[in-house]
Amino acid sequence: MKSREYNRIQGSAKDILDRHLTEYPVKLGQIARELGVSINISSMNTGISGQIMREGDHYLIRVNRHEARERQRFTIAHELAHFLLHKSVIDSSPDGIKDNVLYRSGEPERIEYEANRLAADIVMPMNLVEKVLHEEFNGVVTEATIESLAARFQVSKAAMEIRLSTFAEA
Amino acid sequence: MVLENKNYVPTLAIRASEMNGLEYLPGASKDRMTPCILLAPWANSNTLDRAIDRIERAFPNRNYFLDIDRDYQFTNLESAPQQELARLMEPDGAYSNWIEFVERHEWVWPCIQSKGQSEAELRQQIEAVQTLGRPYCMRIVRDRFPNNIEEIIAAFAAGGAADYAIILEGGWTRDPLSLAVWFAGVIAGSLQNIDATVPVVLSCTSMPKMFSAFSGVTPVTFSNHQLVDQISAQSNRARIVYGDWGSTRPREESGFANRPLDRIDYPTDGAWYIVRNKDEEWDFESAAKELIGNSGVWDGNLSIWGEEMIYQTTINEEIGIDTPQKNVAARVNIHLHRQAFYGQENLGAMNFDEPWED
Repeated sequence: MKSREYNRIQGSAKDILDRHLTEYPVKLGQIARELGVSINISSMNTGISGQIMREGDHYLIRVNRHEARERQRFTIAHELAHFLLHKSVIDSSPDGIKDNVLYRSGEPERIEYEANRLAADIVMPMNLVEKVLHEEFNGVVTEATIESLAARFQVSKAAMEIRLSTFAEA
Repeated sequence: MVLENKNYVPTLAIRASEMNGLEYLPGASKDRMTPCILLAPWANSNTLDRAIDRIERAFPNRNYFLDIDRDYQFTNLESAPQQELARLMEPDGAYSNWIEFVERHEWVWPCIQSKGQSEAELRQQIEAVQTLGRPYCMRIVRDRFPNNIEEIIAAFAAGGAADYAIILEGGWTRDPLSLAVWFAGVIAGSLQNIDATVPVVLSCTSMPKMFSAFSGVTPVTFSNHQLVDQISAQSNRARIVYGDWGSTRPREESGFANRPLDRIDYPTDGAWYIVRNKDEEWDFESAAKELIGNSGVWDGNLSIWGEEMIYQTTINEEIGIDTPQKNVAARVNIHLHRQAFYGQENLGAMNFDEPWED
């Protein structure tokens, strides 16, 4: 099951996502390249996780070097989600959207929730998570399952735990 | 050519502080070094391969030297990774277990295992590594100076000159300059039959073992660079490369120890500043505030993780440094970064942005 934000995406962007969300860990850099977005690892101020901004005719994501790689991956997915859903918000400011560690940007909270849901779909595609969970762990969620799935999808344990709880409720 | 365009060979044990300090370096810093990692089981892992995973997470898509950590203390011979490590130390078949392990990990440039080997066996091991198409390393450790040094030299000299480096490891010392005689002696003596173009790394560490005498902000200078300068000036070798332990020390027998007093360590180009105060009961936060506010040595513009961690500590220890291990990780990070760019002016003005790699 995909989020309603995922279902809003159309055209070539949808093709790109559909093509890449078939294997894990999801190749975020490759998706970004195909969408025309560059990603830089950058030293950013304390408390900032990432940023997406327009530079001329293309878009740039900056992700904070001082955070763990798993965290950086979720941040990139979150900024890509902004690119896919909220381009007009990005374009309306020279600094684009800058997200703090709680993924709050000063923009309406709604857009951050939307970006988080789509980000989860991108880094932890539900059908893939479900497939691995059933094929390799008999569908049983334990601490070890969460840890193993988090490692495979290169996300934090906390993120995978939330993902699996959503799955359990679905 | 091995170590071409590299100016730094830090030797690092596989411990959390070292791996975190290495991991959070900018790619530009990593590109200037080839670390020598000492293989031992990674904490709580069930295979030795997890140790390689940890190294390659910290130092991805780059080659590194790998040696067996002979200072590692075996604690449980029923532990699978400890058993694996013990098997790598078996000399049978010219260390064939070691070669098989190396073969499975493509970024590894192995240190040739020379303990108890004849010249013929050493040649066999070198040829096996050459067959893999990998550069390799002769690592000579002062405290375990090999009694078959002549066989080692003969085997390496027979293997050509283009694809290996030599690490001379002085280990821990109070003063690196006090080891100058040893380094000079090995170079002029044992290494005289080794082609002068083969790079030689001079490595040792003087990171203090005890900190109880320090109070306030205390500089501890280290003389590794003077050592390298001195040996380079009197040697005919084409390349002498700077090495150290990334501000750490070799493993020691662990005894019972109290948690050390909270402190912050801050590396500069030629000194570590130790910030602690037992009488005034400084915690990490007050030590970090003292360093940043009053010491006069804080840079703050390096744009690297270690400085960020110390800065965060002044706001809230929990998001900065709240354990001795995190202090060491931040220190390793800053030290490695500064030594990778040693001699470069205006380090703070450099842009270390780099593209994301999947």
